[in-house]
Amino acid sequence: MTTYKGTHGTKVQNFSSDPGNPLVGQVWYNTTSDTLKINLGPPGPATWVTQNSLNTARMGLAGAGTVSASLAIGGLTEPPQVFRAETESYNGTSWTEVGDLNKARAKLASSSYSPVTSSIVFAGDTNSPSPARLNNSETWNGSAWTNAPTINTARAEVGGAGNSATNALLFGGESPGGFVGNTEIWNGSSWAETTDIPQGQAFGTGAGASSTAALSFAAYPTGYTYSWNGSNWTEVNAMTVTRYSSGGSGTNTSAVVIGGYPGDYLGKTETWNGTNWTAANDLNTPRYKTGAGGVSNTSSLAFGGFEPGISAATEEFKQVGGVVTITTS
Amino acid sequence: MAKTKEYCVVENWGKGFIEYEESSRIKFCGLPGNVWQVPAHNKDANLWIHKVLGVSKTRNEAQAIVNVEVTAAQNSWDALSDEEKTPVDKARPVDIILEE
Repeated sequence: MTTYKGTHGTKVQNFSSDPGNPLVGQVWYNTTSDTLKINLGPPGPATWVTQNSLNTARMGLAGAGTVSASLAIGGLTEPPQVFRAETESYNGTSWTEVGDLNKARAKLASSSYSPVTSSIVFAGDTNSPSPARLNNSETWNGSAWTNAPTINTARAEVGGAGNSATNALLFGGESPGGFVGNTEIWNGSSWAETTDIPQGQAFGTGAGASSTAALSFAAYPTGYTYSWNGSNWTEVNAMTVTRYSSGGSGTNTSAVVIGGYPGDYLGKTETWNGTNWTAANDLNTPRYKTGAGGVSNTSSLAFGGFEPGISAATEEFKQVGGVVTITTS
Repeated sequence: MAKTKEYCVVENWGKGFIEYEESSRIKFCGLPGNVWQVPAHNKDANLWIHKVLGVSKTRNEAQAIVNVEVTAAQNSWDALSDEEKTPVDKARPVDIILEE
């Protein structure tokens, strides 16, 4: 039998805690956590890898969660145009259908930073009973959606942020009267109007770990990036490629914008470090109107979209390097 | 004109189809009709096509497959109501011209 000592000339060392400055390629056993570890060296640039596809291909859906625990919510398929109620939960390997929305819809948003056990969706578009901008919101408890109080301004193509079914921010969108900058805060029991984004916008996305710290980006017609501090929106540095109908994930200091429209930008990815947007590796399957989950500018999950043709593709934006645990199967 | 792109047809099976090292080294572009575009004369790209059992296509063959899908998407758009065509991100899908 081949042994580590036989191929490397030395045994794997035991440590009660990870060594402070391991060599690149060094392998050790952490006796406290009972794990085998390796230092892969400095992380390389984050890039997109394929993951297993959604069960229901769709676009204009909402997402929430992380790369290993995400929700894909609602959306649209065509032809014929059908607004979806399906929710799927991702466990890091595959998508599983869970409870449907009470109101099928697309072009909605969510408390994007929330876990798969506690979330809220709001606004959106539906064709039943007729094409309409929605004021509905629904909360998720990990297994079912429950109707929640309505938002103040019905709209679709909105941005969202927040961290749970009791903490969310809604901004921008297209109302029956046109593009709006209206912003609303959800505190777990009601929606309250607060300071507007300076200019009406729609088809945008957002990121943010709470209703008091969020980022709005990739919106039509401006393409501006705005940072939210809980009371005001401030324009910050713009993306290098102006686009809209993108996916977005992360926080107000570490975010990713994924794909978008017009067609030349379908695959473009940029990362936000709290100050600037920087071009990153493109999606492998260029598209727009994707759903997304993720917590930082090196960790994101993109699912669904339009390429042209409705897509079920899932891709993970990941960075490899540093100290990792070795698993065997 | 020198060939700069390679084309193959293969269905994306999900996890493991494009892995981190491959995505780091190869510029992929997934196109309608399960057509994949990768750099020509590239050892890593050739190894990936071999790994996924991609069926190699000439540029013209790949273009024909993409055209079928784009035409279908255009026909779908044409069939939408005027209201459904209204959003600014809902323009008629444009033709995709593959690089040589």
